[in-house]
Amino acid sequence: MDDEWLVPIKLNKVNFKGRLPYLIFKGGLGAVERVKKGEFPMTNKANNEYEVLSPWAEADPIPFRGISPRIEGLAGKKIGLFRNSKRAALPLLNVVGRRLKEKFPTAELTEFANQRPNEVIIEQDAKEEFEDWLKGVDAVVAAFGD
Amino acid sequence: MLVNNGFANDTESASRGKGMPVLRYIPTSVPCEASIMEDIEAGVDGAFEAMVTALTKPLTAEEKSPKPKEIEKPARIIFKGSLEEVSRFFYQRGWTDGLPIIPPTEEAVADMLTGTDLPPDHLLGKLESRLGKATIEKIAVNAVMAGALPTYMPVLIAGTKLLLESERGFMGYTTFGFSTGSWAPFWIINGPVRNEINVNNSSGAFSPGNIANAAIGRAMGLIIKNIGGVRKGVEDMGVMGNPMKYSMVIAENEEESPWEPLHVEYGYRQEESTITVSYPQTYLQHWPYGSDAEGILRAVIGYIIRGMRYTFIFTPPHAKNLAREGWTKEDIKEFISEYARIPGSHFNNIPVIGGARPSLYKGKISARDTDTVALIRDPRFIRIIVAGGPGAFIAHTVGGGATPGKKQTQKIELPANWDKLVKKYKNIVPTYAKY
Repeated sequence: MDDEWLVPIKLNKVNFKGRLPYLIFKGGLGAVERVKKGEFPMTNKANNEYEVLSPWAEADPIPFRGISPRIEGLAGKKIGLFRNSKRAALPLLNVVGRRLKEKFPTAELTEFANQRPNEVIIEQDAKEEFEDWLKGVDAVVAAFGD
Repeated sequence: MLVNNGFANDTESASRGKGMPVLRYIPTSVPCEASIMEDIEAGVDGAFEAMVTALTKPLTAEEKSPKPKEIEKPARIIFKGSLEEVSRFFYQRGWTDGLPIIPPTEEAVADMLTGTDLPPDHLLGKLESRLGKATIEKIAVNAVMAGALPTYMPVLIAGTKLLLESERGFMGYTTFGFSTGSWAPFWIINGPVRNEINVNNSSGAFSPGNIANAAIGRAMGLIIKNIGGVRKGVEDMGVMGNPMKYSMVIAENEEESPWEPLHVEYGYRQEESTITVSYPQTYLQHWPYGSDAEGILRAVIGYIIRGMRYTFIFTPPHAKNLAREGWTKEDIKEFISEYARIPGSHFNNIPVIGGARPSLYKGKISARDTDTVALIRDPRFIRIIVAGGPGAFIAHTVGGGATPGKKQTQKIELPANWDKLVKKYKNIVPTYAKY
């Protein structure tokens, strides 16, 4: 028997304590690849146990920050309505605006839209414009999602 | 923030990822892409009081100043167990694609690392969405899990670089890796490495059964999941999902193509090897109306659906017939982009992102109902490759793809011991018995 051309076959470990049995395949059995012993180290585990490495990547911690202080009430306040480019965002915020005006008639509403799909323009091209808009509002309701 | 209630996990993951773990968000019942006002009104009314409370209720101490995130220091050796136990452990952690894995032991990973000259701790970059550190060792661990051979490491490293350097806009990985559209990475391999690692480009090139086609795509999927941290239903919000996410890898049949291969078209030398990515949502196949250029190309434009970018895969006989009649790849792209058209009125009721109906002539003229509008408005949005076996089918992949001027192809760098490695692994191929 040429031990260089053995393929380890895993059987029930209850029946095979210790060294795994080997089976020889000869040509003509079909899609069976004959490998040299030791070619695939992961299969050469005499005790049938594997110590494995984590596939989960490390990541640098992102500094957490809190959210802006809340306002005491909405009456007389300037409320910003911010939306992305998805279809439901505009009609949804239109309804939000109508309900806000019904319940808080003295509230003032202002809108800002990020109309470029999947681009954070408020961190890029429109950063200054967005930050100016933010300075002028007391609170923001954002509508995201599809 | 108002979000669809199915996006709660995604909202939390995204807000933590942006450093704001205490974001006040209100899940609503407003359906995604809603256009029925009654539904929108009902959803807003149901969330209105919670929204007012979120704006006015004083902040808790945690909301004012959240506890800093603990530094992740995962153990390098994460588990010890039998084959089944390892697979189950990884599956339950959300680290697999559902299929059993090869255990990434120290020895197996070391073996995988023979496929590169880069050291294990070499950092390629930080992969979205969680900005996980894409080190060579983490790529190797995921490659072992996928059943890859060490000769695939150069391809996986190049594929990871492509993701890292992808444009951060609408047509890049940061859209297509996560979107509700369930886009799947489609990897095309060109150059000598195709044959050295046996990437199938012939019969059933897209079907299972070849280790390179299966394991390279699988490994890239695991890299996206375990290094990028893109998990189904949390960060990957694909609505329907896509079976092409298991693996969609093909080589171009450069030897039987009458045209220059894709990588040469993109500025690489014939003797260089590359990997090119696109993100199709849909894969479709059809017969030609005839085997001549007219029969092939009329069928192609007849089967084009509305989509963004296309890769067309022609069999060698079809490509040769087209070339024999004088068609270059550029001619075919121009023909398709000019004659695959639908009536302008077709767009009247279709909500196109950005709100615009496609325009005429480089966007300069507004389209009317009576005009016809190009389905693919720029020939550069089309890729053409040659692959596939005997038979007369033509394949289209439809979705994110060729983006002029943006990163879409990466050169594959080979290690110094490449010839030796190829010799060791090249003969690992299926041998089918006669019966």
